[in-house]
Amino acid sequence: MVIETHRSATSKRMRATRLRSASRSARQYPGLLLGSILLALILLVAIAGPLIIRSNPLDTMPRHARAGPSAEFPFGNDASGRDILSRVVHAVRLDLAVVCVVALVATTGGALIGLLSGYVGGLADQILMRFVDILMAFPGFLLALTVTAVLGNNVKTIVFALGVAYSPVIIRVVRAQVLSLREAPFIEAARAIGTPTWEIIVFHLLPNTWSIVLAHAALFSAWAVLDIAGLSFLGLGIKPPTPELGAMTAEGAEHMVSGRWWMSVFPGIFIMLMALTFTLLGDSLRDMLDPRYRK
Amino acid sequence: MFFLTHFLPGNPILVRAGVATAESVELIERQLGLDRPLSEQYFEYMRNLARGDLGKSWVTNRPVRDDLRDRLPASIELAVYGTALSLLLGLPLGMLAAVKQDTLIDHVARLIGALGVSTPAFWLGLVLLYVFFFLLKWAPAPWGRLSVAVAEPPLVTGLLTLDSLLAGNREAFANALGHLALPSITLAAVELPVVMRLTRATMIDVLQQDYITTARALGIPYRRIVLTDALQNSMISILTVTGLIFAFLIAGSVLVERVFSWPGVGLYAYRALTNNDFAAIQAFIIVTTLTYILVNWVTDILYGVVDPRIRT
Repeated sequence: MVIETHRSATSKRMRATRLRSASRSARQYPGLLLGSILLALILLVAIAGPLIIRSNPLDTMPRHARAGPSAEFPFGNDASGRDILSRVVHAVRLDLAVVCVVALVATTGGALIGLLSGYVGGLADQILMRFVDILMAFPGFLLALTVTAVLGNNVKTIVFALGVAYSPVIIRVVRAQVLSLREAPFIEAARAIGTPTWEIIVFHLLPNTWSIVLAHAALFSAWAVLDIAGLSFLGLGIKPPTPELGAMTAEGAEHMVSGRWWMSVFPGIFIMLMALTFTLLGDSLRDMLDPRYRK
Repeated sequence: MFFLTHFLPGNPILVRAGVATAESVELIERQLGLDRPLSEQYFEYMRNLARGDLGKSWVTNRPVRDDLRDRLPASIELAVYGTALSLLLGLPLGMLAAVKQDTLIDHVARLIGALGVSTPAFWLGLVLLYVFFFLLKWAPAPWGRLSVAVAEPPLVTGLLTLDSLLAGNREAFANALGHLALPSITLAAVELPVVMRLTRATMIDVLQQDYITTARALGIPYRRIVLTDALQNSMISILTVTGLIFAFLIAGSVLVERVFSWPGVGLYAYRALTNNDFAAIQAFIIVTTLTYILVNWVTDILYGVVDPRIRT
């Protein structure tokens, strides 16, 4: 009985502390708070949006062609009369999905390669690093541009191209982390008692790279939002009539100079919001993990 | 890269021959040397490259080298104005944010930085066009570097603003500047957050150094410390990341030149990519990558020159 109350008091205090520390970190890292709110909103648009806005994003309605925002179509209609709001909502869903896959592929692939290369070392590591250097010599967007131009533009090539363009960054960071960890006493101890290599990698090295991987996943997502939209804007990404934010901006481009702003402006705002979300999250994660910025 | 471009799915011969019969395809294949083994084509390309011959574009039907030479000044001019603008605004803003770290000013500056990184350049260009061309009618139409009615100044450097000044042609200068305004603002918006975030991070690092504390202990006004010692020392690190800014510049220029129909190398690359123009794509990649490597190499050397600590 006494113990019971004591425990509940402790848990209450703990909850209060946790709450206080959460509100403190929100004050200290306002970007994290804003980023999380934005992420929730974007997820809401991507998941619930297509359920609420029932009109088909591919339906052409010649009667409404080039019509501005109205009560029926709040974001207006495009050149062939399609509902821009519906297209934006579906595009956010598609872009978010592709972005997540790109970030996942680039971070897990890159982190694994960096982990193995750093731990195993030797000739394989040297050859791999030279290869990474070569990849790093190309500006990322340019690399992705060429790869999609060569292999054809579909979602699979975009994921591959951006994955190849981004992963060198994380390969290097993870490898550097592993190189410094490899000589750490606890790894040495693990090796001394005969722990198998794979166990060292999975149970001792991997957990120590989580934070880097997480921060990079957010960073890559921000890049991917802009690069996918940029590729599609140039016609080298996802092709119309599939609703995609960058391709929609391109479709509206020629109407911008004749004053029909809604065709490009709305998709662009959502590109910006998505990129902003991941930038804020990535930045605050990096700041929280980098002791130089921590106070 | 050579092999990559030769796996382009589109068949350039069909683009060239129009309605192609088997014989005409074969004829053009032989003309372009595409019937020979890929390795032979590769070595031939490398031999030509060593002589500075980048091949022939089949979109413009001219040597790629001439195309690039004609178009490079337009891109350089745009890049110079864009970079200058971003440095002019980004450096002070980054310094201010660093000095006022974790105050409201810092948070606002960081939000601007985050917003800047997140804004798609092509979209910003379009919005600027809508506001300044359609609504306010301040900016000229987004086609080319000069209005049709304005005579081009005699060619000296290829940079129209410089050439028109050299020729004393005020009208051409104002016109060229007007055409440059929106594209360079767009490009600057791409670079500015990079410059700003970098300046801020470096400055915060430098301000925590012992010699700054010493200087403050000696009673030197903080403003003077920031503007002399701290700025000087952060410039070193900022310099080394010029390569990073340059990468943004290349990617940005393809998109920005596309939006403003700017007759530079970026637009050329875009046309080449969408038309399967092997020679032009390869040339663009080789030129930009070499420049990129060169820029990074020069900054590395400069780093050693200005920072005696890393000289060995």
